[in-house]
Amino acid sequence: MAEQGKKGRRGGRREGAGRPKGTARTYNFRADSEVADCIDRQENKTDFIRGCIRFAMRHQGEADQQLRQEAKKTLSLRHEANQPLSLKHEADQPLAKFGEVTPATRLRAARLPFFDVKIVAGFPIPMNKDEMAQDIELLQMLCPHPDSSYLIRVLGDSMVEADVKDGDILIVDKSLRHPTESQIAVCELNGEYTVKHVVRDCEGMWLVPANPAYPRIRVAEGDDFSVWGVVTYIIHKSR
Amino acid sequence: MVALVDCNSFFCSVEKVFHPGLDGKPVCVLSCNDGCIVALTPEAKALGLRRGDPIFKMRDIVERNGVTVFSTNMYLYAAMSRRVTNILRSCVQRVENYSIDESFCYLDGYESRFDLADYMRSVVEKVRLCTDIPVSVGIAPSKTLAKMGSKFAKNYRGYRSVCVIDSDEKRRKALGLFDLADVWGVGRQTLAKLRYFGVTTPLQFADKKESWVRSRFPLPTVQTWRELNGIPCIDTSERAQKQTICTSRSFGAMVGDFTALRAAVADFAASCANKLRGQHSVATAVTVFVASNRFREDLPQYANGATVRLETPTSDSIEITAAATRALGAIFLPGIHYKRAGVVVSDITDDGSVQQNLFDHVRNRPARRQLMERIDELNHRFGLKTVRLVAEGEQDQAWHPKSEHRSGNYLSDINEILTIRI
Repeated sequence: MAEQGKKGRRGGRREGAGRPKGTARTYNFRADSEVADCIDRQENKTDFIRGCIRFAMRHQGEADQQLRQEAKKTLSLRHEANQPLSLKHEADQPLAKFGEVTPATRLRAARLPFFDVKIVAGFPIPMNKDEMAQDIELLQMLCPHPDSSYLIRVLGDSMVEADVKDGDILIVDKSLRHPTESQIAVCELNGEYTVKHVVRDCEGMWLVPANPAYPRIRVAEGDDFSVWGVVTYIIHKSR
Repeated sequence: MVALVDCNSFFCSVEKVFHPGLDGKPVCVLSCNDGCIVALTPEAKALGLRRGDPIFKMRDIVERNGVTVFSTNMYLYAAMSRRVTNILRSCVQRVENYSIDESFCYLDGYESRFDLADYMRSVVEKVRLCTDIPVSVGIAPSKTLAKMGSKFAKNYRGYRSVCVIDSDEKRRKALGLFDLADVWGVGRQTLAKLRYFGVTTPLQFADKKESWVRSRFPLPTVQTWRELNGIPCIDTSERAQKQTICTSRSFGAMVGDFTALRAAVADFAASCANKLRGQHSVATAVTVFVASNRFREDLPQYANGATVRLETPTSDSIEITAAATRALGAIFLPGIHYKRAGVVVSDITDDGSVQQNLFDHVRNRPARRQLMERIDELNHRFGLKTVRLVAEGEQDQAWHPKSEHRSGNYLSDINEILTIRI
């Protein structure tokens, strides 16, 4: 307790302190003596640096293109022209001014031959994690929290329009106790379990079936009501 | 600091998860064979029912007050217990499962970052959310004190499920209020001896000098004394391989016939062999005991036991069952109505260090071992006793324990999961 009191008085975050958040970012950089001298000579150093950067950005396009062309030469060397890396589709034409374009869908295929290149032989190139095939963990997917998940079989068709059919198995997460109106909840009402939507309106709380043939059930003041869990998946055997 | 997490009337709480409308109602769970009450809710306790009461004597109370009665379903309780332990493990690095409803959580290092009581309250809430099992927590420097704390947390709502004994003042207060007979490690004999020396409360015991305790009591009692003084010294983690394994049961109906009794004994023997394989050990001695019904004074009474020693230590179901059958043959008397039988295997050693026997009558041991592994595998996959020895007989015989109020294996059998009519 004494420690907590101390925390209340000293240190920690102060509300409203610091530079307000915006899109601008701050940079720190080192300059060698020649560049530093040049900057030091300027009257307004910040404006000068900004100007330099804007100038550089205008010429970036040209520089990029040069870089790309150089890269293309290296790549074609490596590939010996047996696998064209770039696709010259009609749609790609406007982009061509940026150099060679590889559509995103080809990225993986385009990346793989790079590892096959003999020039780099002798270096063990580790298999990238992205390429390692992972099996789909169905169980993990359907039941990410096994310690709070329970299987429940339902009999009856009162929730048929919410895709819960007679005989289906529900995966219910017990740690979820506050269902939204669209979720399907397992509830306990006056000593019986039921599976319904829980809806609150100005009149109070309702257990609403997903089948027009069944009535809504009013949860009255004195009723013994609790949410047992929320349905996360419905297992339905295809017949 | 160590915390003991104790599930409140665990068996009943598990049943309540799967049976609606039992909140605040009297519920009790019966022992194997529906004999005695083994667990009950506070509401059932308030009606005068106690743990250990034979249920047939309590029929009146049960029927008059509408007490809900369940037969033991250990599969269900064990499955739920695993869930509780897993949740504790997700919150605390080192957790030790002490019994089906108790776990120790080691909190060393947590006190610098958290308020231990608040942290454990969040754990209690997580267990309740995921399983609906109410738990009580005692936090103290030693396990014996932590256990004591959990009892306070359970019995007084003011603690909000967590009781911390972290100062000498709190420790002395707790020791003064606690019942000496309920202290962990104080059995009936120690209790009588302590009373003989005029010690009637845990506080009086803890205030004795260590030399006084040492000169009069065995080591375990000295350890309890140290624990009560806040010095941790009981290590529950090193629970070695069990030195004897026993499977015994009282029968649902009395058995007079040798074949039926042999089937029961063979079943117990095979179950012992299975437990041996489970802990990777082998046994050298097989003991069988039988007893008549001591409550039926009108019938002839008889109880006896016999031990058969094996030449080579083994965990083979066939050998152990054969030995048990031989032992039974030596003690079986016709004309007796047997109510209870059991098999004990002892002289247990590690299965890696078996001395070979030149005159071993089992010719191909490695093959037999493989056979046992396959049987265990099949039984694990398709359910207990799917593959069994002929001697174990048909399932569902008269000697099988009664369990008329058993609930489904909601967590381990897809055919028995909770079904809701909607």
